Amino acid sequence: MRLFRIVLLHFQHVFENRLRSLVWFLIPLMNNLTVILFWSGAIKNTNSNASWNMSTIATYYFLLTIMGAMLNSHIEEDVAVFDIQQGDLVRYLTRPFPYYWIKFIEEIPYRILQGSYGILLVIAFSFFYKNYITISNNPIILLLSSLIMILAFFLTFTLKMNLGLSAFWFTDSRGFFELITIVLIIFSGGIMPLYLLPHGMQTISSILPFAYTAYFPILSLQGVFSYAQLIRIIGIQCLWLAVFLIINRIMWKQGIKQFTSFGQ
Amino acid sequence: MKPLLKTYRLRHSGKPRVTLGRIQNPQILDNRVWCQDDGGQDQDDDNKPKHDYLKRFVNQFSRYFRLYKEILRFSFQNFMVYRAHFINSIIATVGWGAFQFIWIELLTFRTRSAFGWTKNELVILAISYIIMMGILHFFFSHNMSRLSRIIDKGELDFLLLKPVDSQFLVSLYIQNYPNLVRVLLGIILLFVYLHIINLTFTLIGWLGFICFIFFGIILLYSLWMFYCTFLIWFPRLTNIIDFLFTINGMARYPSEMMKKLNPGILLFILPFTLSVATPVKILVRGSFDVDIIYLVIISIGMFAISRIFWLFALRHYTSASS
Repeated sequence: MRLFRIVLLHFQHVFENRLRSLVWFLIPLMNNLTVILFWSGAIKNTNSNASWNMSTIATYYFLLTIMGAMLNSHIEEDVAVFDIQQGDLVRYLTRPFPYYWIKFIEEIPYRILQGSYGILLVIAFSFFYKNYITISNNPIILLLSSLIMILAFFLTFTLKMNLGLSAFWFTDSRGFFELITIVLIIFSGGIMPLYLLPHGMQTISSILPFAYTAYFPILSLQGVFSYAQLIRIIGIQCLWLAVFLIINRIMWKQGIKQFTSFGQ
Repeated sequence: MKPLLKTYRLRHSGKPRVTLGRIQNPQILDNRVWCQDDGGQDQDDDNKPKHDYLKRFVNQFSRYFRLYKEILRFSFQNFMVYRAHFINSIIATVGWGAFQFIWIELLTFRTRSAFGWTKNELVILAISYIIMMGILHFFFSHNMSRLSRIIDKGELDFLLLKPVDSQFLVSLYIQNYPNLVRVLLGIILLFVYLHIINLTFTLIGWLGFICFIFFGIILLYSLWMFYCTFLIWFPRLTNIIDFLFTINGMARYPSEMMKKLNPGILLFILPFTLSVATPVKILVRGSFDVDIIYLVIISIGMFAISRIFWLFALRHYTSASS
């Protein structure tokens, strides 16, 4: 009950600035709508496989918007700048909760609010253009896809937490964060589906964890994968999550020894 | 005894409304360039013939030029003090500049053309976007990001009290040096790409490209200024700047693409796309089409509108923590 009240308090805080959240949601939406518009003129001059048509394009980019809003955590700057560099970490250290989970609770309301904007958008769009958005109607696939989405959120959250914790050692990590964001956009399918990229980049993306944060959740919702493939994706996500969590524990234990705060 | 403060009426709001105190002898504070000149100019105003506009314009221009030189020096020192931040900013700036190139290369990897633009023309458009965004971010965008903070904390008061045009100070107070690296990156990419694809352009094309980049920057600045002025009423809407960055991203696409949109959205987005696409069209096609007239008219018109809107908004500024 106490935990529930804490979550509700954070919800209040997020809803207080709901217009800001809407603007944050509109930003990737505008980008993705523009890319859809671009493809509408480029598709007839494109040498691609038959599965890349206006219906799959619209579905892909709409789901990308929702996944970005719902699953992509942006906690790194909060951790690095406010908590570590400005010293707000002190108030978290005195609380009877692990830092990782407090930040997780803080992040959840943002994702839920922005994700609900996305779902409302897709419902509205599907109402007017019924044939454009195609999502699997198989309940088992939907269930497994939900699990993939939850793991994707944990992956991005833990990755961004780790990036934020790097501020224990670096005075300014903004350039590093930006570079990771760029790599994440490219290799998570943020520009276009990974199967349309050059072969070399497809190989690199299969090695990196970024595709499991957006690309695979989108394709699994579209019903592209078999059950076995979906379980394999879940397995790889768990593996990457374990790696990120181990790194997180090590960074926290070593980093907190570097932390100094002042005040009366 | 001569009073330290002399009452006067604020000029920045267009109409004299507010009466404030001005220091009679600015030299007693410091010898900053604007204080010295402004004090002298006020005393001379009554003796000058009223029709001597040209001389006054030259005086004002040279005064603001000297002030801008000080701003450049101050911004450079400010960046060099925090070297880690400076290096990080360069990394981030170059990273995003390179991303624009990678982005268009990937998007057109399997595409021959879109909206009448060939793949090569689309890549040149994206590279020109890198250059123009570098210029815009060097001069203005950092100041616009700062605007919401200074309004929210009441620091805008300090800028308004200075005897300098408020829009000038708000727009150019900090110069973002790392973005010069982005401009340089864009220019290098442009020449390398043109060399690789073996494209040659006419002198008129190059001159037109440079000239209309100037108009494009004016248009982009005016649009940013216009939207940021809303922060006077909504200072907590800080992510309007991020939204503007996104809308700016539309400039990476051909303007013909935006013309497919409905008129309401077109009116909102087309100016952004015209600002980059028009100079590129002149460069790659050597053609001076109707978009040039649109660009010139819209950039001048929008500049005037943003100026009037800023002056209007200042009348509604209610000072600290408004």
